[in-house]
Amino acid sequence: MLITDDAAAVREPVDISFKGDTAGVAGLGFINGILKVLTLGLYSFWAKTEVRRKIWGATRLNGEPLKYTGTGKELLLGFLIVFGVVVLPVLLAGVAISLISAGDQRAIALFQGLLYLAFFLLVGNAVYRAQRYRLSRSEWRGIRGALVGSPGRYSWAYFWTLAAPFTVIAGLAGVFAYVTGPAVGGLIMIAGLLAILWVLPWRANYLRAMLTRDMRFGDRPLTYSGTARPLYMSYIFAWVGNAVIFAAAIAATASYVIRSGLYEKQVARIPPDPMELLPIAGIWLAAIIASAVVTAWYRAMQINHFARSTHFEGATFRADATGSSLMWLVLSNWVISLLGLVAGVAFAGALMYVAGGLPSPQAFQSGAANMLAIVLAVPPLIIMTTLAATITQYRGARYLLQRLKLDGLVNLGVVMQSQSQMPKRGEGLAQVFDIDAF
Amino acid sequence: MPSNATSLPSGETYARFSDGKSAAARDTSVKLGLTGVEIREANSARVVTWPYASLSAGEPLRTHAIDVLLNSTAQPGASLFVPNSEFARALRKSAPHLTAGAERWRSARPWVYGAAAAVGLIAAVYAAGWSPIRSLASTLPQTWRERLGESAVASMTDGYKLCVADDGVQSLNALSLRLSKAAGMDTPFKVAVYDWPLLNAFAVPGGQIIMTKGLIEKAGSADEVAGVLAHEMGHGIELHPETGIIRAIGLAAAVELMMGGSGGALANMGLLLAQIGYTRTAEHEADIQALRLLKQAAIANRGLGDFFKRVQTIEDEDKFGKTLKQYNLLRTHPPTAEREKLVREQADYLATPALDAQRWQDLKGICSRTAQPPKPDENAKQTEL
Repeated sequence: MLITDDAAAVREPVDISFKGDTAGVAGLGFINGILKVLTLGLYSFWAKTEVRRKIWGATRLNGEPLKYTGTGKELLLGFLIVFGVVVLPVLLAGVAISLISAGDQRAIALFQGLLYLAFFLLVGNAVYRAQRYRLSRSEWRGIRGALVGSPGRYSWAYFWTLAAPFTVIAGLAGVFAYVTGPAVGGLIMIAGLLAILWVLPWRANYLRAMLTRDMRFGDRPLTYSGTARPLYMSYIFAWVGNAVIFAAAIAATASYVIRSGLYEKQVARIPPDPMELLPIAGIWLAAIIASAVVTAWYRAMQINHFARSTHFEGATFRADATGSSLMWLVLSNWVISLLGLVAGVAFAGALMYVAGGLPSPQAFQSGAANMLAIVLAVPPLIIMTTLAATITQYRGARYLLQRLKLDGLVNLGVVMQSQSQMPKRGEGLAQVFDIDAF
Repeated sequence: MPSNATSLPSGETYARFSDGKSAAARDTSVKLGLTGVEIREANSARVVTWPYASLSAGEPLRTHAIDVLLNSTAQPGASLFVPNSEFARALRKSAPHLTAGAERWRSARPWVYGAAAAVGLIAAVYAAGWSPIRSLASTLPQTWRERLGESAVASMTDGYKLCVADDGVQSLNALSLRLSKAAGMDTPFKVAVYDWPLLNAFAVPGGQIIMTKGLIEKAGSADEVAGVLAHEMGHGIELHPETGIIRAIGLAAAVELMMGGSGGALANMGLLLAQIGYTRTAEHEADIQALRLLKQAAIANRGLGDFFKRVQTIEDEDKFGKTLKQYNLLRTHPPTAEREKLVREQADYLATPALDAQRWQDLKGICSRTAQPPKPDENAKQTEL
């Protein structure tokens, strides 16, 4: 063997950097899109793996890359198991319920309600397992990461931190509705839901602390020291800003609906002209963009707070995210996604036009255009949206990693290989819920 | 870090070596040897060789690679980072299995073989004329079919009223009974007309047929309505609605599978598009059944032909309908002209009008009185009574 002597017990700085190749990422996104089309989507597991390898490879500690060791096969197997255990039974249960109840809307609504509750219970589990899988497949200098806690414990915390305040509010609203009438109950419910939003910074910090304390690099733990208090200053701004934006959007929509005569049409059950609904879509698009802008500052503060509360071997992380840079990232990523979609639609339209004309709504209704539409329209859409999604994902990772630092000195020689057991399969549940970090 | 690079012997490149036991690393120099990557510890003469075939890379080696992270099965757990683009590119030639293309093909190979086997199997099943979905559909109990049909009707006709003018309903029932008898059915098909301007008719599971006001209004004669009704009964006899629903469930599962479980809007659009309409073969089978029923019931099949002609005229007015003719294979419905020809080719037989003039007028007026369709659970109660 090559190396036999002991590692020098020297404390050294760890420099975090990101050495990316944006053109290469675009090329990868494009090839992944083509392969997804050719394999009817099955390649997506391998595509995801390829993108992660690229991002991990670009992430450097002291100039040396991280390595992602997960495989597409693991992701596929993990997904197939969850598909068999969760998705398929739910799908069949849905069919059975509508069959047994013969389309009774109440039974279907009850089923869906229970389903959402079950899903909400499972989301935390999915988040934890996905994180555990990714950490176990991340290496630096051959040393693995790990997440050593219990998914059940995290999942329960994820659930009750929101479900408990919600139950209290709903209970209070119910009591008041019963005693003083539905108007007061309704008001309390709305006020309560707005109040629940104040739980979110505390909840985010609580869950982050739980997750971070379970994390290991090799055999060494990460520690977390943050409290939620520093988050509230920026949260006040985000909460008030969002309240003003959405109140304005609701007022603008109501005013437009009444003035344009849409309300009378609704009462008379006359279907509105799609063009008449355009201003409403405009109002809400503007509201969502404005909301992202005012929320960006809070999110940046949250990133920085999480970083400075996280420690490893006596060194402390630091992030210098800013509201404006995060806002720019969010908006530009939206534009890239939109451009991908527009390009996909344009290519699809061009292909159909070359094939002899754009289909009319009647052609779709008669079913005549089905196969043609699928054959011509879906491939360019998938290729362009995959390309856009790959670029935005890469930019998101780059944003964080370029701003992350580790202050202090670490004795890397004492960080030994992790002895914790590696999960065998990928993050099936998280894929079903579409939860995906990079 | 690579400052030591200048003091390396010629042909050697600076690298960092980690043993995989701890996170420490040390300086080494490497070069591409005859059989593998030769690693020499700094200030030492000892050399270890990692054979080319034993290597794996952190990322696939691309032509524009700027550095490379290597592992070797010869020294499990250890890793070697070479921050040199020339070395990385030269390694592509010595260890071509590390390139992106080679990696992709390695992971794709079992799938390509698997896909070929699956295609072969499907082709064999198809060639043997066996439809597994159809076989499954025929095992569904009648009560299940009826319930499926009721929920299908409830969701399809949501927001439309049922046409209930007494004389019209009687005419419709008479026509349905005449055709159902011809089909040799124990229980006649349940036919209903909805106050819906669209020109359409659907067969739903459990021997039920829905027609629209648009169809009754645009039809030129009772024989045309009888033709369409016989065609929809054909679908019912062939269990196409049941097969369609089973196929849709299977397709939904397959799409979920393909989209990695997060079958978003795109997947649903595809699913929706794929669900509309039956296959060409199914339409042809329903046409053949329709011709048989019409003959048995002694109703002229010309009505069916006339109706196809009417649809043809509507299609001709539609630009995409015209262009679609170039894509015969892609179409789910047989070309209308082809179907019309099938009807014209049938031998003549003795026939009486599907309905007399008075009853035809009654049927045309079936939507002069409308009512809210009964709720599915009320239907169930009625059946129990």
